[in-house]
Amino acid sequence: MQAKVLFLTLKTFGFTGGIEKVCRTVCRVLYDLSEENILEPTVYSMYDKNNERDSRYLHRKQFKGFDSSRKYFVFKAFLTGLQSDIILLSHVHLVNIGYLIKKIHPQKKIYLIAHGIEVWKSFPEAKLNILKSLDKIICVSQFTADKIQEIHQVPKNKIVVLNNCLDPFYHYSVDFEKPQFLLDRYQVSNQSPILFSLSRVSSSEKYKGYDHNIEVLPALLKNHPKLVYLLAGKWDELEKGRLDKLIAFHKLEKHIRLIGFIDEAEVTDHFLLSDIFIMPSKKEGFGIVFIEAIASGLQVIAGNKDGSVDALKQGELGALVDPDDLKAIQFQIENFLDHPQSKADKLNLQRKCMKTFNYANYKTALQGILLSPTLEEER
Amino acid sequence: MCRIAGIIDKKQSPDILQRKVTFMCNSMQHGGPDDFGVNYDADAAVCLGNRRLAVLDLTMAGRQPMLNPDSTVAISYNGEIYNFKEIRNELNMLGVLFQTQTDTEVVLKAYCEWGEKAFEKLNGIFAFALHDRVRDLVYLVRDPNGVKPLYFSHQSGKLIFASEVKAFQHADDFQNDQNRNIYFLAFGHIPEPYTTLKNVYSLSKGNFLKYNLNTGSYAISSYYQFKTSSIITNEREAIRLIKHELNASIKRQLISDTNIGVLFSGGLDSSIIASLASRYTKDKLACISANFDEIDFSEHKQRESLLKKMNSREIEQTITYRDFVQNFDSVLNSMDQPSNDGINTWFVCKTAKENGLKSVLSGLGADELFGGYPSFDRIHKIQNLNWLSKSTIKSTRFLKNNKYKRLYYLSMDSPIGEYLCLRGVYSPDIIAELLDIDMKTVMNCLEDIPFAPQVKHLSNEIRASWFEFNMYMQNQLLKDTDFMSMSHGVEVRVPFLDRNFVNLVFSISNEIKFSYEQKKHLLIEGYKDGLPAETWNRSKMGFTFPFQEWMRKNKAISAPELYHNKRAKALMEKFKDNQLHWSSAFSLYRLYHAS
Repeated sequence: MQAKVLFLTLKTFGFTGGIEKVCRTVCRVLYDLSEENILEPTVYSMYDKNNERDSRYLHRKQFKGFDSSRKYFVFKAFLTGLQSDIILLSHVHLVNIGYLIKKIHPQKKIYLIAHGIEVWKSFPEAKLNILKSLDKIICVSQFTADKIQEIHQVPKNKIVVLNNCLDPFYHYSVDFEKPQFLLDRYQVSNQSPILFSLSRVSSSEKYKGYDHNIEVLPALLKNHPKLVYLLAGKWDELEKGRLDKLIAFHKLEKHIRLIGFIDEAEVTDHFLLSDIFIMPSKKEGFGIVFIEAIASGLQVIAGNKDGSVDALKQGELGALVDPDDLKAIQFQIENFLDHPQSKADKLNLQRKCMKTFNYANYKTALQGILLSPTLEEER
Repeated sequence: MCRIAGIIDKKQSPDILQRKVTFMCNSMQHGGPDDFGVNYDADAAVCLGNRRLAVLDLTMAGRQPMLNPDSTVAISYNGEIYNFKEIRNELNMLGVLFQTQTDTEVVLKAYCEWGEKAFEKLNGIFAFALHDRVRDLVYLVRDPNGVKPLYFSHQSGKLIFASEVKAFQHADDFQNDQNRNIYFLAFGHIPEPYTTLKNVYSLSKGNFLKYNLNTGSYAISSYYQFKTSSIITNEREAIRLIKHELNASIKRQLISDTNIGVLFSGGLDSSIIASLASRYTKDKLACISANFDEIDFSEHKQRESLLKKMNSREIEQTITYRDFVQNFDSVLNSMDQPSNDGINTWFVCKTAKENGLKSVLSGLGADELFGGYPSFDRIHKIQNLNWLSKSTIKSTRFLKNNKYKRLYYLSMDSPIGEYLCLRGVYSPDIIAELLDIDMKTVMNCLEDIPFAPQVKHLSNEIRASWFEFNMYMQNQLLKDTDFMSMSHGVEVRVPFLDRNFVNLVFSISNEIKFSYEQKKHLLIEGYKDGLPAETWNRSKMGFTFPFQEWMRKNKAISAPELYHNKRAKALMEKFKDNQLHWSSAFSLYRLYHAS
């Protein structure tokens, strides 16, 4: 008999953050396993609308969006959970539902996916107890796994690390030419080296490191006067205003373009356009954007104090720097600029990334985690 | 298959005339990539141009414009004549000799032999211009089903014609037709005879335009019209004849000196075409299909079961959201006239082209002939509203649902109102708001569209069929298919619209042709034994793409803030919430951002 899996999420399709990307990939794994008659999935999303489903990831019969109707979501999740074998929670905010189901049916398996900052903080005792009662906590990086053990003292044998993977529909290119339409759009010469960042540009999340990139730019321009920095991502007006002032203060208007939201269809092209992807962030649970950049053959600079370390395979796939050390950031950028990649370098990097972070591996690993016996069952 | 253009203007210098025709032809190079030719007759100031897509007789012998041996008749021709070999034999018997293997030469010499009478002998898809230098006449001729387009303009004694409306801008200064946006928002296309340009018209199907070079005047005459009757009343006999005639049609349409394929969606119509065509091709038949990452739209499994049974090779192209976004501007540029559809044809024909095909067969026409659309049911429902007063019907404009708002069109005197109620895009009040004009202007414009008066008196099913065949298929499907396929230099052939086959279907009685229980009953009964059940016992899919998802996701199309018109913004908000069909949203994008 196929195992019934209930996957509960906050948002999956109506937003483009890292957690949502993981949820979408998990949806596709569940769909693929349902096509192989291995399990029978149901996915509930608290905040998505039903019509927001991206039909690449899940069949319409397998998904329900509750459009912010939280009480109804909890009620339906609870009832469906009682009829499921495995309840997979995409966020620590959902553990209460898992706990209730576990209370009534202790044999149900409750798993939580732990991403990053949402679990790197202390919890009230009641929530901590719930966390410890879960059957497994699937951490997206070793960094998050270490943090959970360190902060919450969750037993090591309940923690499993499953690194995120590339989206199954991520577009790869083996032609590493800079797309002319983007050079034209941003009015950048083919000779100009391009730094690129892609993250939310939000006044409430100032840990992505783009401020530091802006600060080191004047020094970099001395040796690389044609250097251009493309800062991409959906912004809020407050942060955009602040950045505009910062750019004006450093007189960098000719060298920095705030290019805003990038449509999924053009993400790969922006990586191909660029020479270095840089995001010396401090609070990444994993940083899917890093592996997307590397999968396009791009050299990457990331922070060494968060889950980015997993995404860059401890430095094998890119450079890890102290995100607070401006000199180190500047040095690493200069190092990359002075040693531009060949096509062979890019291909090699791309291959290594895809070998490690491909969807097929992820699917097999998640299937193993979901269907392997829990500690209780082993006893 | 080619693109044609020409100008007849005695006031213009030979150089300018030839240059203009050359520019017109070059603007249509996509549809005729293999050769270019222009022929100028100084005495009559007639300049004919041609861009050639060589499908029959690939040698230079098939160059166009073509002249008869004594240079008294010249032709610039676009199309395929499926019975050209029979006509050629008939001419041979009369002692006519041929220099090429082309159908162009057959048309030319048929005219030399029989004059205007030759036109009705032609079974195919075509549009051509013919200059008779002895009688000082120029003919523009279009096929009986209007598969191939032909546009013309006659002003101040000057005649200009071309296969595409866009070519006219290279001939003269043409103003936009002031009603073009009303037509587009009401129909989703520009209905014949109108175009986006003022004084540029589409020549009606089955008609020829005869231009007198001495007087500078012209007359349009019909040379072929399909007639409906109820001669066939026995279902078994009807099915037998359908199978016989469709077989013959497909055999005829497989004539080609290049590779030929089938646009294979996996639906009933294209499955029948693919299955029959695979019997008559020497090599494996190339079946072009589209697949998607989007689970709801993938028809891969349905196609697989039939492909295994056929002598075919599948060319399946996965078309992604990225492909859609990256090709969107090219798709829009390929539209000769605004349309809220046809994007799917652009992609499948691109795949055909990339796989070395110049000609493909399509299942187009079967739904219109055999009652495959929901309008065949809906027409009964809207007929039930006949008892309502006009003022009651008009009050439907205050309803919220766009579909119900279209009931307003039933208040029109013209039968076009019924069509727009069934198939229209926006109701007149919305159009008025979108264009910032009053509603009376919208209604007057639509009432003025010429329409065959006898349509009002047809039975419900026949009227629905008439609408689908003469309005929707003619103005939308065939037009979209022509310019989208020719933008890749690929010709689409339509076996269901073979002249003999259409004549047969039109002679089958309605009682057995249209069934309430099962759509396209006769086709299903005729072919279900050779096809997998999932091909015929499910709802219509065709080449259905995930445009609803893709367009909603793409902010450059769907973001309401891009639309300054208040009503347009509100409609795009609805689209965001999935309460508006993509084709309606696309119409707004086209109107405000791609006109």
